[in-house]
Amino acid sequence: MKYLNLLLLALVILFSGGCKEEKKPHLLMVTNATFPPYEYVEKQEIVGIDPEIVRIVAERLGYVLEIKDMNFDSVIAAVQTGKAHIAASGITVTEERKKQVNFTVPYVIAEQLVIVRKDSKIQNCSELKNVSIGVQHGTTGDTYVTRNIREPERFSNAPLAVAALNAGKIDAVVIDAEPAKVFVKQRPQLRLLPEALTYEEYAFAISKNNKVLLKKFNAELLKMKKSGELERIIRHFKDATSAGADANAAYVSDTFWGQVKSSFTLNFIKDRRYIYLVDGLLNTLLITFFSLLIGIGIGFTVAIIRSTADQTGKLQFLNLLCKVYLTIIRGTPVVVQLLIIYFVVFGAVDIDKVLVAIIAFGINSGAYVAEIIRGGIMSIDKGQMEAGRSLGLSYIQSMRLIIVPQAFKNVLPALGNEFIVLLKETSVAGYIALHDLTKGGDIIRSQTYDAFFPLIAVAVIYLALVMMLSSLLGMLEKRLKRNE
Amino acid sequence: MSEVVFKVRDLVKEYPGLTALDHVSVDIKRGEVVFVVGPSGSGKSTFLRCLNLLETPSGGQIFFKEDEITSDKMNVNTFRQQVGMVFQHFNLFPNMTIRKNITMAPVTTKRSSAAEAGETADKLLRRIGLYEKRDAYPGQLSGGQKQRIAIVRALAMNPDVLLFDEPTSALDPEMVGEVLTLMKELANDGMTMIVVTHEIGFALEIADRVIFMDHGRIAADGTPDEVIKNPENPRIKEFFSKVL
Repeated sequence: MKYLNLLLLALVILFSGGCKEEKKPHLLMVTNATFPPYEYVEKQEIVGIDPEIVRIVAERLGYVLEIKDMNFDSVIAAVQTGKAHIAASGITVTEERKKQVNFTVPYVIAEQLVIVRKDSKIQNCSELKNVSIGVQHGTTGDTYVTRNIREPERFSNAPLAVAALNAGKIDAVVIDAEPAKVFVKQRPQLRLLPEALTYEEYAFAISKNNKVLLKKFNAELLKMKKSGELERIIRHFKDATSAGADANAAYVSDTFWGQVKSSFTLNFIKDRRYIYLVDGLLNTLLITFFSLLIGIGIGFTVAIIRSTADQTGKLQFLNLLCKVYLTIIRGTPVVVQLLIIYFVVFGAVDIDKVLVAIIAFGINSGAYVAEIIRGGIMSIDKGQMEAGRSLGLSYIQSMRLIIVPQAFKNVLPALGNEFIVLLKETSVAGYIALHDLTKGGDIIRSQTYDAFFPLIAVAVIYLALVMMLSSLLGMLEKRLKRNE
Repeated sequence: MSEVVFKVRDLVKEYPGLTALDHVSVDIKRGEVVFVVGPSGSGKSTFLRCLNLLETPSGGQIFFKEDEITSDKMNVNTFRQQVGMVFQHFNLFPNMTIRKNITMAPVTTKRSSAAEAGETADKLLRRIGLYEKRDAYPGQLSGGQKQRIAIVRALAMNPDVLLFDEPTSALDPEMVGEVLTLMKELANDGMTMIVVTHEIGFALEIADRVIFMDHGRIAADGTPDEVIKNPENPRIKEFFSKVL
């Protein structure tokens, strides 16, 4: 237990080392980088119209800019809760959002366009009433379609909606004009409806508490507008993504194997995209490993408190706390716990997301490990404890040397199962925009608009990890079995 | 007069709806071999388990040598290190080798160093002829071997008293002999022993003193001849006529 504490301490120091105080004031921008040309990832960096504008303004105002990627649903919340200074993510100005944050002057007037398949019967926007429509969750398209047309299918990002349309799962996709144009260019089987569904203004979101920043930002933005600089930036990135789309469209082949080969090249080799999977895998392993340690630490502690309370009637207060912990953790989804820990518990603290995930998954796993181990402790014959005590060992010594080792051996298969579940559960870390393995696949998908290869690759890697973990546990089990 | 090891005064143990021990008072002297016998449910096992506080007495006092062990101030662990216990179901630690079973407690409680404990274990194992099994695990031993290891495990703590709780009841008949032989050797060596058992014949053979318990009380207390062979109490007479 002592070692675990030390390890945790080391971990905290390790991660907090990364966010030392800078001399220049810090400006944290949040975005969802799956929205070309406004924001997208290129060569492991977030680029696009929004990051470029904010970068220039930040530089002129004397800020050090840091950009964080997260789900679009969360960017407004991040600004509102003070986790970030500015949200720049192709955000449309709406009345609801105005209640939560302040908007800068709009920097772009954007249209919401409708994408359909080439062979679709839909010819104009009035025919959308009775077809299934895909949107990106939390976007203006989502709000507009929900209010004025019908309940849409909500996807976590735009490429996923387009992939669904392409696969025939839905009939139309409503998204902002610029990305819509890019998507259609890359997919010969898709087309745009001629007229726009609605018009929107894009602006940056800043916390209501930060009036100073808003004022300074607006002043710079207006200057850029006047000088034509703004227009040049927008044009530059529109051209760049359009060229990128042309480049991706070149990875098409006539034969089946030729197509497989070129898809593979596009998804993993080009621009060294496999790096997204490697980085994601490292984070997944890091999170799984450390949350496993935390889970085992918490699990053993809680299990011992609970069974001590059951057997001796002592520690009733701690037992109550443990029960509350178990009820809450096992009674709520791990995604919700992760989001609460990120946005509420560490809402006001700048903390590394990997550390947040380790804490969240560790606390979650601990509850399950605790009950597994408690089951193991209960399964050990009462005589074992009595033998230990009759030899003059204390309760703790008997637990540690006699009961727990036997219990651990008995529950190893169940524990192994929990570890496998944990490994796979970390895939929801993407909810706080953590670049884990699953998210790595998402990023590739958002660049290549191909669902098949990135998803299969991610699945194969998880499978390989689970198989390795299973065989390791099998070896451990066999080893412990020998000692009987 | 030899030293009193256990002094029990008005010991009461109550369970919900049952009085297992009803004001039991008795002295056990150093070097005595005391057999506690009686019908099932008479409280003899509860009495034994109260002596090393595996059961918490509901009332009364127990003194071990000079100290009152029923007092809250008593360090139970230090006290128990001086009183060995042998269980009906052996309760060896299946996750440890035979040698580790024997050395673990003396080393953990710092009664001896690892080297000393190892030496003692080897000596004891040689004495009972199970030295070859020192690296085996309990699962690989017969019932009689297990019980002899359990006795050795208790002996390794160098206790003042050994408590036996029906040590042969879980054994196949052909295994009983080897355990009784070891117990007899210990008795001859002068070990203070309190034995709860149904082996009346064995009691006659080695007991200095027999306590007959009935309904949570001591119904008779005397030499084996007095209690077993010529009991005054008709109930005791009836009991022994059945078991002998």
